[in-house]
Amino acid sequence: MGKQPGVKLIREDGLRHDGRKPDEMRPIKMDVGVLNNSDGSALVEFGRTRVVAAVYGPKEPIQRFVLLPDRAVLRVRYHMAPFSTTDRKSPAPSRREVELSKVIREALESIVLTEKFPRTSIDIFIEVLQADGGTRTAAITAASLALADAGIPMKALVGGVAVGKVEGILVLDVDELEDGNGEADMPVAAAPDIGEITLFQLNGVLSREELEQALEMALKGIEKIVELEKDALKRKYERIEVE
Amino acid sequence: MSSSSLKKQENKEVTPGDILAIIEEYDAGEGTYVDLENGVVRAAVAGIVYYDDKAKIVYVKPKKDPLVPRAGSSVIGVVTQVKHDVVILDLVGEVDLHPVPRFKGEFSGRFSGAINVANIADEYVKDIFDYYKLGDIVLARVLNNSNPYHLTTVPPQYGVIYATCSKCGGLLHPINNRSMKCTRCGRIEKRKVSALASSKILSIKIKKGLVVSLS
Repeated sequence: MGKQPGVKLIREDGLRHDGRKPDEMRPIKMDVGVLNNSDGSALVEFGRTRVVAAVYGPKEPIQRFVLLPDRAVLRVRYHMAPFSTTDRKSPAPSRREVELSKVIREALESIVLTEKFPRTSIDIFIEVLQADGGTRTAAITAASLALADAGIPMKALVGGVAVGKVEGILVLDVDELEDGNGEADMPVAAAPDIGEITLFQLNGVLSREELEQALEMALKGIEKIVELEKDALKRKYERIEVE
Repeated sequence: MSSSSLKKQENKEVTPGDILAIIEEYDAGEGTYVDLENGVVRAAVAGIVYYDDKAKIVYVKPKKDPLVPRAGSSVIGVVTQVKHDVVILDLVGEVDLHPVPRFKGEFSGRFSGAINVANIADEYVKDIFDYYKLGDIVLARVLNNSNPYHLTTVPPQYGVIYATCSKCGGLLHPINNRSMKCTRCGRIEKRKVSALASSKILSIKIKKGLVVSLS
């Protein structure tokens, strides 16, 4: 963190460097069932961030020791493509990716009704195709859609978005530039239908009042994201009926 | 949560988390779950909602249902191991036997199943190798709902539906319920043959299904 000299994140007119209002999200695009060979899949775009998720299962895991007698296990792999960043990223899973895989798994575990498929595993593969900040929240959004597409029973759809603080102002859906030069970054994932927060992280410093305000902003954004998820799912089914 | 303003809409498209009914009004059926905190029944999968007003059950017919082996369903598997007291299969997919045998679909992932020597045929099985051999494709019925799946092939419609000659590799043709003849070298081999083994529709569909999932 720490601001690079010469980077202006909030313009004179109060708008952000890309012309967004502080509580405005980037244009969001969602597509369900984009991959043929997986049981369920989804592509999610937040501006220039682009993430694809694929779900396989429920199935009998190859390594039997991972299975649980009373419910299914989720196995999540979050991975960034070598071409997703400005400098080529080594395709080997980094420390960061291993940690994010765990965090995303835990964000999904609480909403998937895993007890319906005991002694099986549900595998989720998340590939970041293009990274411009907010990849973990986009990944959770895509994974939630892919799970619904695979027909895996879950309590509700989850969505994620990050709130940041740049030049003293709270902004919704931070991008790479704001994340790298801002004072704080707070990714949140939640299922608004059942009022459950499944991921809550904070990198940087926020006061108590700021934190409360930031959380409110995030939840408002997530509500819109989940609305878009529902539209995307219904759109796919209309397509099936036409075929 | 204003569940009192809830309006019942039949045949509506729902997504996971949508409120379908109040718990006092309807029980949770397939594709739904009870949210005790808010006192409502919610959709668990994306699909179409149906209300059974007689039984007072609400359920969601999913647009896509992950297929896993269930007790009572007929499944197709490939023999991967034959031991003295058990035959191990890799289960491939489910078959609808009624009204006509039809391949229903592949399972959502790999599952394995076991036929115990007592569940192989309706007779004393002296040597298990006279009933199944490695690589045979078998139609069997699932007995339980949890992961070490136990199978049975006792009823006449279950058993080997596709097998190859152990000498020359040619296709075996069923003669009766206990033996098959090689179409290439004429060798006769012992098998527990399914009564449906000669039903061409099934075997062709199965072969097609297996080519995809075995590669």
